[in-house]
Amino acid sequence: MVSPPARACSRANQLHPERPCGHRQSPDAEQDTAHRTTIGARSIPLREYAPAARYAPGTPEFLFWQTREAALATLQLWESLDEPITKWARSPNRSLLDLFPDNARPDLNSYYDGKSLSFFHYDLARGMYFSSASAEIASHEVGHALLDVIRPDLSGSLLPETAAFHESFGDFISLLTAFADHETVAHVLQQKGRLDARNIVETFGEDLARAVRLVLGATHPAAKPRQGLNRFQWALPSTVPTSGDPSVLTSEAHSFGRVFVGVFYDLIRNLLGSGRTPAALRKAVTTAGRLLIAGAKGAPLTPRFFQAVGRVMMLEDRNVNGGADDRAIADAFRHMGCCSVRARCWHQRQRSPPQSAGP
Amino acid sequence: MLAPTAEITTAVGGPLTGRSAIAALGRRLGGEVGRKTHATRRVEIGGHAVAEVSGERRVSLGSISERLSGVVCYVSNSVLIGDVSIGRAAVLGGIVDPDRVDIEVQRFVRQLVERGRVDFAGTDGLVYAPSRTRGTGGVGAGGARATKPSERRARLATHTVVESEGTRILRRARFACGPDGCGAELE
Repeated sequence: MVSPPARACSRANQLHPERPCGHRQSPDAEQDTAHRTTIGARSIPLREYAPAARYAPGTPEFLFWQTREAALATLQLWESLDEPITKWARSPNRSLLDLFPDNARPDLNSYYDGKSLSFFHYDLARGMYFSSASAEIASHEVGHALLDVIRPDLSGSLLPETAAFHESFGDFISLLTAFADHETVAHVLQQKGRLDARNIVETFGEDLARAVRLVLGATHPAAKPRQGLNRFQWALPSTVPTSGDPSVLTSEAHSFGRVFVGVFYDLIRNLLGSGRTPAALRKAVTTAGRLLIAGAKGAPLTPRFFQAVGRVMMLEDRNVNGGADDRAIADAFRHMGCCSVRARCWHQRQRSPPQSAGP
Repeated sequence: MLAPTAEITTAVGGPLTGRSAIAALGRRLGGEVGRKTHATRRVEIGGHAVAEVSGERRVSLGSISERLSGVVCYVSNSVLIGDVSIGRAAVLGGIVDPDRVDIEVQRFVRQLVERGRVDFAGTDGLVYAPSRTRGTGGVGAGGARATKPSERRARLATHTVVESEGTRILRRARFACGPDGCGAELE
C-alpha cells in the first residue's frame, strides 16, 4: 500500500533517532527469532532493536522498523480523529502493548490478543512471506486494539456481526492510515478514476492474498485481497454460506466484514463527491473516520450491529454537522441492501405517549 | 433509534426508576439475576445522553459439539434507555428477542468449531492438527526458521475454553487474521 522501506526509515529517524537498542525474546517459543518492542499508550516509549536506517526487506531490522512505524502511524491517525489513547484495553501493563514483528512459528497469520500484536512468517519456496512487512496488516491489527479500547464489550461478544465489525474496523483503520499518507493520497488522486477505480488503498492485503493463493490455491476464500470497492450486500449472517471462494460473501468474520468495508469506502466516496484535491480527500476521510468512531462508540450491542452503527453515525452527523452529510451516509448504507439506517430523531418536545413495557 | 418505544413501568403501570428500572429491563432482555447481569454503559449519541442496558445470561453449548459438553458462554442483549420526563425512563428503539440472540450465538459457535477455531483444552491458544506440511527447507532472507515437514501443524485458535469458578466458559482468545478462519488449513 505505501512504500515500506522509505516510509519506515524516514519516519523512524524523525521519531527516535537516539534511543538505545533493547529487545527481549517473545514468550511464544524458545527459538524465537522475533524482536519485541512496545507501543506505549501514553508517550510511545519504544525499545529499538536497531538504529534507524535503510534495511533490506525481510531482514529482522526491516521487520522491526516496518511494524513499529506502521503501528505508530496508525496511532497517530487515531489521535488525529479522536481522543488520545491513554490505556490499552486488557494488556497486563495497561500503558504498553507488546509487538512481535516475527513470531518463531511459521504461519500465514497475524493477531491481536489483548496483550500483543503478533506477526508471522511462512516459507513460500519462492521467498519468505512476512505478515509484518505489510503496513496495512499491521494497521489492521492495531485497529483491533483501538476498537478494544473504545468498545471492550465487543471482543467478548459471540454475535456474528460484532465479530465481522471488528474485522472491518481493522480494515477501515488501515484504509484511514493509508489516506493519511500524502504520497499515497497523491498517487490515488492522480490515477484514472481516482477513488471510483481499483486502487492501492481500497485493496487490502495483497501480499497475504498472494501467499494464500500460492499455498492454498486460487479458490481459497482468502486468496484475493479484500476490496473497499465492492458490491456485497448485507444479509442475515445465518443465511449466507459458511464458506466459498473469494467472490462469495460468507459468514466468516473477515468475509462478512466486507459488507461494512464497502459501506465505509462508499461513504468516503460520497463525502468526496466531485472533489479532486488532497485537501478535499483529507476532509472526506476525516469526516468519515470521526463518524465511524462515533458509531462504534455509541452503537448498542445487538445482533444487527452494522445497522446500529449506521444509525449512530446519522445521529452524530445531525448533532455535529447539522445533518450536512445525512445523504452521504444514507446512500453509503444503501450499499448494504435491505438494511436501512434512516435514524429517527427524537427530541424532548416531540413526545408521544409510549406504550407500556412492564417487567 | 432514539425514539421512545415503551415506558419502563411496574406491573401495575407505575413508573420504574433507577436500579429497579434497569433490573426490570435486564430481565426483559433475557438477563439472569446475578453475576454480570444488568450491566449499564452511559453513552452520548447524537448529543443525547442515554444508557445502554445489557442483560447477560448463560447459554449451554453442549448441543453444538460433544467437546463443548459442560461448556457455557455468556450472551448479552442490549437496549438503549433514556429519560422521557423527570424520573421516567423509556426504552429507545426496539428490544431484540433474547431467543433470537441465542440462536445467532449458537450458530456462530458451531461455525467456530467447524473451522477449528476453538482451543477446547484451554492451554496455549493453539489447535493442533496432523501435519500436512510440505517440505520447503531453506532459510528466508530474514533468517527466520523455515517450515519443517515433521512439524505438527498448529493453527491459532480465536476462542478458548477457560475455567472460572468451576464453570467452563468459551471466551475469545484473539482476533487472528490468517486464512485458517476461512475454513481451510495450511498444507
